[in-house]
Amino acid sequence: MLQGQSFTGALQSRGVDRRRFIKFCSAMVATLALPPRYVAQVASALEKAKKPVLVWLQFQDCAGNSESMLRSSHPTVAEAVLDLLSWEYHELVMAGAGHQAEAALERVVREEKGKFIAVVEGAIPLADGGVYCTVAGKTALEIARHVCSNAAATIAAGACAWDGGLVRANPNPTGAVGIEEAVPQAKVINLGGCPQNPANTAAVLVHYLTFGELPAVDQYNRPLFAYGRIIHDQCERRAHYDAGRFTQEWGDEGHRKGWCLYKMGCKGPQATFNCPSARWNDGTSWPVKAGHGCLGCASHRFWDTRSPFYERLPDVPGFGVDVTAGQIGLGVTAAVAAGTVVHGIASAVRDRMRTRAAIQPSPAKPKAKE
Amino acid sequence: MARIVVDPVTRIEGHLRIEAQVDGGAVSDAWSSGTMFRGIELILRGRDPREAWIWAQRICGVCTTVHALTSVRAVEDALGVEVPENARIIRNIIAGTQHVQDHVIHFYHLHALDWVDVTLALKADPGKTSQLAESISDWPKSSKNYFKAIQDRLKALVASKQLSLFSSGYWGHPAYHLPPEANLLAVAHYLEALEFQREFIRIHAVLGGKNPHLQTYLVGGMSTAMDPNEPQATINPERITFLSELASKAQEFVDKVYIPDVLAVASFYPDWFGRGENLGNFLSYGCFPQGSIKDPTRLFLPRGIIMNRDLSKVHPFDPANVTEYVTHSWYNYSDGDQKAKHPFEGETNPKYTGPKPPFEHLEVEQKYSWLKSPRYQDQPMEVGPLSRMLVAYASGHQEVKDLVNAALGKLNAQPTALFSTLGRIAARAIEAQLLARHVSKWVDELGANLAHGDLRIHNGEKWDPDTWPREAKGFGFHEAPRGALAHWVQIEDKKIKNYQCVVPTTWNAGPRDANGKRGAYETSLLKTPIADPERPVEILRTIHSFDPCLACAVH
Amino acid sequence: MSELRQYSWSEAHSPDSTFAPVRVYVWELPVRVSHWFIFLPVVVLSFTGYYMHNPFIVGKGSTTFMMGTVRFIHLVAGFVFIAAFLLRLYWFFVGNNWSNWRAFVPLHRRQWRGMGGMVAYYSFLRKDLLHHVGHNALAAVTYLVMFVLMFIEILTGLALYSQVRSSTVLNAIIGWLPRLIDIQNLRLIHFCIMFSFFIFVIHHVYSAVLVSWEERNGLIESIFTGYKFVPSDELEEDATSRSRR
Ligand code: HEM
Ligand code: HEM
Ligand code: NFV
Ligand code: SF4
Ligand code: SF4
Ligand code: F3S
Ligand SMILES: [Mg+2]
Repeated sequence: MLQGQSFTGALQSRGVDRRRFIKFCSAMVATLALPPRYVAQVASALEKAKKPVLVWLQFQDCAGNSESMLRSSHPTVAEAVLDLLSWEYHELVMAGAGHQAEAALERVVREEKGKFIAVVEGAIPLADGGVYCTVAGKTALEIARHVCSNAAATIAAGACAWDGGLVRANPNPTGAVGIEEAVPQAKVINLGGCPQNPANTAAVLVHYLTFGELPAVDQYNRPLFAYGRIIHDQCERRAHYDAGRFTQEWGDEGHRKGWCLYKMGCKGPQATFNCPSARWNDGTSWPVKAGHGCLGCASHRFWDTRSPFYERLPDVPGFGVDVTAGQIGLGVTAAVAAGTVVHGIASAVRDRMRTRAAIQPSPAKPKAKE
Repeated sequence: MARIVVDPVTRIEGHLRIEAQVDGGAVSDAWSSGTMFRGIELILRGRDPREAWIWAQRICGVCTTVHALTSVRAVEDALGVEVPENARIIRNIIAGTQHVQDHVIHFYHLHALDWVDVTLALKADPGKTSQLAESISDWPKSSKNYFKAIQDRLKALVASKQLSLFSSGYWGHPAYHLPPEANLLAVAHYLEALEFQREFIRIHAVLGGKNPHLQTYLVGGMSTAMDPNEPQATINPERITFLSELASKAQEFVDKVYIPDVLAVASFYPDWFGRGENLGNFLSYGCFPQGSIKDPTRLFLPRGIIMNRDLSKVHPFDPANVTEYVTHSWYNYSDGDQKAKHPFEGETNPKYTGPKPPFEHLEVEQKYSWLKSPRYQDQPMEVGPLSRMLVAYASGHQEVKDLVNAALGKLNAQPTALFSTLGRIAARAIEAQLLARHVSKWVDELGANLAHGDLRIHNGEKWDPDTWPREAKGFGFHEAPRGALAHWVQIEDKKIKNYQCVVPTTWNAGPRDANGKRGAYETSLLKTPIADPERPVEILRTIHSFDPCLACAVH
Repeated sequence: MSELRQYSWSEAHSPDSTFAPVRVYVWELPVRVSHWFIFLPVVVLSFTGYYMHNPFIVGKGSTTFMMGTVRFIHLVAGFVFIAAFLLRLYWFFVGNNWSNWRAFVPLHRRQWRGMGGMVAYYSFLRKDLLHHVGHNALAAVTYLVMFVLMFIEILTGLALYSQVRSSTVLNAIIGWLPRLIDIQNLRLIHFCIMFSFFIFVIHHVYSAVLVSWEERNGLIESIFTGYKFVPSDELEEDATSRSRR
């Protein structure tokens, strides 16, 4: 590792006192859902840690995850970029351009091999030889393979980097995939969300600095501390859901009173993420608090699996977007009921005709035994 | 004679590649190429138009919100929906906030390092820096100790040999002209602006649930329920107070930090009022409706076109005259690539014909970019804050005129100086100043409505798709931070049939058209002097002055 | 290869003693119990499930617990349903000839021909019913399909429940499913199968009434009492065809 200054050294050099530092560590421990006794461990690890090098790669992205990171409050982006880590490559904000930028990335891969952290933002197109995303004439895939397979760990920041996100949504015009699929040999942790929440990204980094390893993950390699619980179970509108108090129309009385948004298409019951507790932009709010349903943006392939966003259930394949499963079901049921009535009448007619036919040749009366 | 390639162009959004021919120390020709394509116009097809904004917003996370706004407007236009007064105001607050936010980040974090040599700040005298700061502004953070602490932090960073984002700059380049004190001041404000943007954008968090990618638009209005007596309502008196505070802090920051810094930097680079000149054609759709969006006369920033630098005449704008070429873009049109298409007839058929990666150079005689080439009446246009300010200025918008004249006065410059690299920077700052004021006013308006009991935020008449005609088409527009933005949507059987976005950076950064006409980027680079072809900071200066966003441009 | 014994309508309805029906114990207790403990929960599950899908009654006051209650009822009914289903499943392997799994799975040509006959009967292409002691071949296959759908409904229901309640036990049992198919699609499947129950019940009850009437065999009563009235030679026929299999 390069010669470097520790995090607290850096903080002290600009007059950040220990109280604030401990507060930061406590916030991280809380986000990571660790017991409070870990505060000391986090603090001492950060005090000792030399700044690890981080590179942030952008592929088929919208830079929303980078912008989200800029809004980070604990630590602030200045702390993360200048004090906690050495942020050597990030196209959106780095000083150098062109060859100089390329050289900076190359140097990290060469000199920090196996030690640096890579963050990936955006999907990676595999169709047509990867021509849908090139940087300095090289395909995203080539760069991703070169960088991520040499990194100690790769953080997939946001839906696009995780599973291809929006770019991969049907019909996936560019054959886009997430980093895990593009570079299977990389050690990846997935931070779903569109964008990811910087509180979680920071916590993953702190966990890595403290324990030398990535936090525990679920089946999608998402950290459990952030993706282990469904939104619906943490939602402040949940009491209204249980009580059956629903917003029925945008802006109605229920909406103004903060009632549940289930009938407006909220995907909170089908989405895991820590939005209600971590919130966004320094804890200011989150989508459901602002009156709109959750899109389930941290769910796997959410663009296709959680849409249509104003309906309860996905579209039924083969039917128009405006026909819901309920309408189809009720329609078919009604048709069958009607058909049955018709059949019943026809059977009754047949029965009478046969009865007559049976009566004619033989005078015996057909009668059931009972 | 040399071919310079700048790829990646950094400190922008997205994947931009500039190739420039340099002859006799100046650029003789230039090609601008976007090297990433996602196909969002194709992905939108067949989906519910009411949620198009959710998808379209992801065109860009830097100018987040603007595509959402434009998208709901396009669908509202198609369906004939007018939004309630409160929704109109909330949208203006959100969009105005976005402008201020984006402009501040652009100047400090994306552009400043083209003018500021961070390493020179180490040589500055903190005492003199304090004097300089106090001479240009009464912003309180200006003491000697304050600048000393910043300098120490910078020294520690340099001593650690881990320069982080600053490790690969063009430090020591002869084109840097600021004295050490101004560099230190700029570094301090770079850090302050980071804090500022994080705090200020909480306006979006209140009104949008989060930033980036706000989540409260609706076709027909907004989802931010208002109620003066409900603590659970998204907008209530307490929230209004909070918004007001943030808005007035922004006003202060722009007035006391951003504007003085821009003027100070500009005063050290007077040459750049004569460089990076442009096409001379400026387009603004106008934005921030003060009444019905259907009425172009009620747009706070006016709509219009300026041709050939003639500020004496503002031409009317008609959306029917917008077309896009793909002659030099990696797409096919079904009836040949020589003719331009109006977005209602628009096609997005990707067909890459460039060199097989890895490659050294693009085939600039053929197709060489993922951007299309938008034209107005077959003419290339520049769009952006400069276009908006010029159209407003030429239309006689008093507030804009006053602000522009004040800035020009301080710089001893004529309005024609605005047709330049620095002109774009100045116009952007002036616009931020203007909009920071108005965000405050709009928050007050919203607060007044709340107090009067006007709580309507959504017009539900057309929410149910069964109320829609079988076919409909609409045009949605906005002036995004980077310029004129429009979405054209066609709806058939309650689904999106075709969706076309013509985006500010597409206007500016697009490749040549069928007639060989260059767009704004390619034109503005001509004649730019290049001191060191290995470190072409001059190219970055002019390109950055447009605030490129390539994710937007290609989508 | 046995020929199916066919009766003309007049034969079947003749008071002629050759066809005098005998009382046969067809549906053993577990079959009847599971039948009704499937039926009742399905009614409850459909109402509560539909409400969860589209809460058409919206609470106003501060004390209602509408959705919470409905969800609770759905879950309780769901587990009763699962229990009844398991009971019936068990009886597939230990029950009498007519409830044995072989009666449902059409492995035998005779069953396929019987189905053809029933289809022809329903579409008025043949006049007379094929007689049988247990289920007619078409009904049996329909039940088989329903049992499969019930099983899918249970799997998807448990998968939805595993998401609502993150329990390790539940996850171990069903966790593989949401990993395989996205939870929203499972929800859609769970929802759509509900309509297959509606459709089934309409036809099921109608055909029970129809056949009961046509055959005068006490079919409807049978699912309560277990006894059907079957022509005596038909009973023999039924037994010989089975032994020859
Ligand atoms: C005939 C049987 C059943 C029917 C008709 C039925 C119907 C439904 C329907 C219509 C829904 C709402 C779907 C939506 O969200 O739109 C639902 C949800 C659900 N069902 Fe069932 N269901 C049945 C059996 C079961 C069983 C056996 C279980 C297992 C315990 C179960 C567990 C659930 C759960 C956990 C939910 C989700 C509740 C929530 O949103 O929290 N269901 N069911
Ligand atoms: C959800 C509703 C129902 C379901 C899923 C259902 C299912 C079944 C099944 C699977 C069987 C075959 C018996 C076995 O071998 O286990 C059966 C038989 C029967 N069920 Fe139902 N049933 C339902 C409702 C009803 C109702 C409401 C009636 C009332 C008339 C009814 C009357 C009968 C009769 C008469 C039989 C014997 C028919 C035969 O021999 O084919 N069922 N039912
Ligand atoms: N060009 C552009 Fe945007 C803006 N402003 C969008 O319309 O940046 Ni992403
Ligand atoms: S995940 Fe969302 S925010 Fe991130 S790059 Fe993709 S579209 Fe943008
Ligand atoms: S608003 Fe959404 S997440 Fe919250 S309780 Fe209602 S359905 Fe659940
Ligand atoms: S849409 Fe995403 S941001 Fe949170 S509330 Fe839903 S997971
Ligand atoms: Mg387009």
